[in-house]
Amino acid sequence: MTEQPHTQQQTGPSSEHDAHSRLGHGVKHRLTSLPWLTRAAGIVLSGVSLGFVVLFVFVLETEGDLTLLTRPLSMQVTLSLPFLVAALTLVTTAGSLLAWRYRYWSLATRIHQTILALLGLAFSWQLWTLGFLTP
Amino acid sequence: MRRPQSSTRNDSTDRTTRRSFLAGLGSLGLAGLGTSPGQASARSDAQRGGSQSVGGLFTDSEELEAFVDDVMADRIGTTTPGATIAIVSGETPILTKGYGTANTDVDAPVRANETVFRVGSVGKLVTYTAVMQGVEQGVLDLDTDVNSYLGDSTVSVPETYDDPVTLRHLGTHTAGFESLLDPDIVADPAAVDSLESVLVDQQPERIRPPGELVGYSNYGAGLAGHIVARAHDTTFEDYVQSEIFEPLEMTHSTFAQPVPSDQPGTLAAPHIRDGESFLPADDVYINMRAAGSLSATATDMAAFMQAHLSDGAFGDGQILDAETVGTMHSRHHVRHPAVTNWRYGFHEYGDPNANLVGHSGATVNFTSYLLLAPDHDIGIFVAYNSKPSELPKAVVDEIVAASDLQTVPTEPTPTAEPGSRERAETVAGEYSLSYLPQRGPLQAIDLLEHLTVEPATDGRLRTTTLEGTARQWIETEPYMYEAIRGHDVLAFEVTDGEVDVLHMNSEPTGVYQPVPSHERQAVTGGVLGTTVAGFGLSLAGWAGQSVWQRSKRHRDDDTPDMEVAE
Repeated sequence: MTEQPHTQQQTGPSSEHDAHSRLGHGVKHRLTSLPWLTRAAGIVLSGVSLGFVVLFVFVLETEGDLTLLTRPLSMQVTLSLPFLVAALTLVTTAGSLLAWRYRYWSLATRIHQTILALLGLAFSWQLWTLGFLTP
Repeated sequence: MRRPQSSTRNDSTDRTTRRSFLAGLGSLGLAGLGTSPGQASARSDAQRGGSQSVGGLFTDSEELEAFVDDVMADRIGTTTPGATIAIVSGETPILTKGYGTANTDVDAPVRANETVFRVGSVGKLVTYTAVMQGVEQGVLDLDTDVNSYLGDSTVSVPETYDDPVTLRHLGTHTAGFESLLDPDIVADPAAVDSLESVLVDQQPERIRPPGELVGYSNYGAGLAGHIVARAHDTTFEDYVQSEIFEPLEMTHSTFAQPVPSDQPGTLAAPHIRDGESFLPADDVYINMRAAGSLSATATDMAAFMQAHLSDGAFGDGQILDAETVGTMHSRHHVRHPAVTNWRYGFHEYGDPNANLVGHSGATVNFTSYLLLAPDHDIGIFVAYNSKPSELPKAVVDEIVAASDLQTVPTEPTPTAEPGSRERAETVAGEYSLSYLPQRGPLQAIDLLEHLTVEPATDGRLRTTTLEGTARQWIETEPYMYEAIRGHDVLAFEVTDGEVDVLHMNSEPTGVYQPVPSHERQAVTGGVLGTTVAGFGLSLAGWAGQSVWQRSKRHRDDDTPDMEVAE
């Protein structure tokens, strides 16, 4: 443990290259890791879903209800989010099925991920019912 | 045309409820949405001095003016910043008067003969009058496939069903087009497109066989206007200008957008609420122009009503012959004999047997209502330069209630037929209006407008809306219910114990259809609430866990150093 600060203070070209290499490897590893992607999709799904609700209300409040008809850029961006929600729901749902098949993570995490997938499916269903997933 | 300068401010404190706006936006002519369905807002006779005979109220112009002044005094500055009113008796305008301000920024008074209002879907009556001119001249026929008039036009109606769409379907909103509500409203005048292009770009699907059910359609009115233009080889605006506005001396009227700068008169500014006051808002433009881009003064609308009440004549001119006017004012679609039905372009108003016909109108921040009583030769037009929750129809309701234009409603007599409770349970459920969008973000309006029907005590029926409006109904015949007060009627069509459709007398622009259980308001509200809460908790939990893990890592990292230090 006492050597670690020393190691972190190395600033030579070789250590920078190693750090970049480790970072690149870590990113690549994550982007090709189905468990990591599934977890990320679930988190992003939650964020985008809430973001859509907040942004929709915000645009209506700040720019007026007329934006539903005239569709300025802000409303166009807002109304594109439901399609992202639907796509993330599909990824999260597929990932949840794989998680049970290949026993990713702990049981609690798998249950949490499955709940997120179910929430996504239910939310997408209502987005469809309310017309947000149709042109 | 001069227009008082207007503010470009957007107001987030508009007190008009979002539900009211959503329900009303784009619903040119459906301005009744967002208010309690079918609830007449007319005050009691006692409040206005009791019901008067038609002759009494409409022959004494001073008394009429005093009455209308009284009605408007309660509203100007509170319901709307400005209003314009025209009341005619046959060939004679007996009251044309402006109230309040045309623009709160410059405090310009409304003048009936000078201040131009956007009248929204009341303009459809001009469009359908133009159709009837074509019928009279033999260039159009109400029962011919509209495609036969479209020739080499880029617009054509798809042959989805065996029966073709005809002009009679367009004039009674029974063509079966999917509702879009939005008549292609644009905020930028540069985005105003040709009627033909709009009809191609915005073409809805045909979702019902023609003639089956009423489903209000802006597209249908736009198509009718396009057919008129093609039949006369001109543009819709030019045709109406030369064949209707000029003969009627409607010098301040136009369908053109933006209103040309050399047009006589001053265009009132649309207004939105700002706390207790009103602010001018930006105007909008309606691409499906034949459906609702008309701008006119009350004086001009008086001329239009005079022609309709005088067998088509106005001064030395004639826009329709008497027979054609009679045809236009006769029934063209009967949705149910006990409720308001459709004349050509007009729908019936109030008591279906009173022969009162009318049409409402609205743009985003203008509203209007036009009523004709052909049996009494009375016409009433009211327009606001705002879109409040209480619409101009309420003023018309008060004037009608104070006259003998229709009978005073009596307490309904319950049916003697046994089984009221069972029938009430049969019709219980949630209902959706046929003219509301079934796709796109405006589909949310459909959910907000659901009508809930449930059994009440004594075999009565209770209806509620999300807005909280509750009404009680008494069954007077099996599956027919009358409102305890007013002329409203609910008529259910039931087959094998299942409701097919529900007709509401005060809702002539559509029919109610049962909503499947999974599309009910409680389901949507519950699912949305649960999912949003679930996502929120999940994110909060994830964030909390991340913070805890970082904190733990930090503590773990710190521990050896502390030991070394020690």
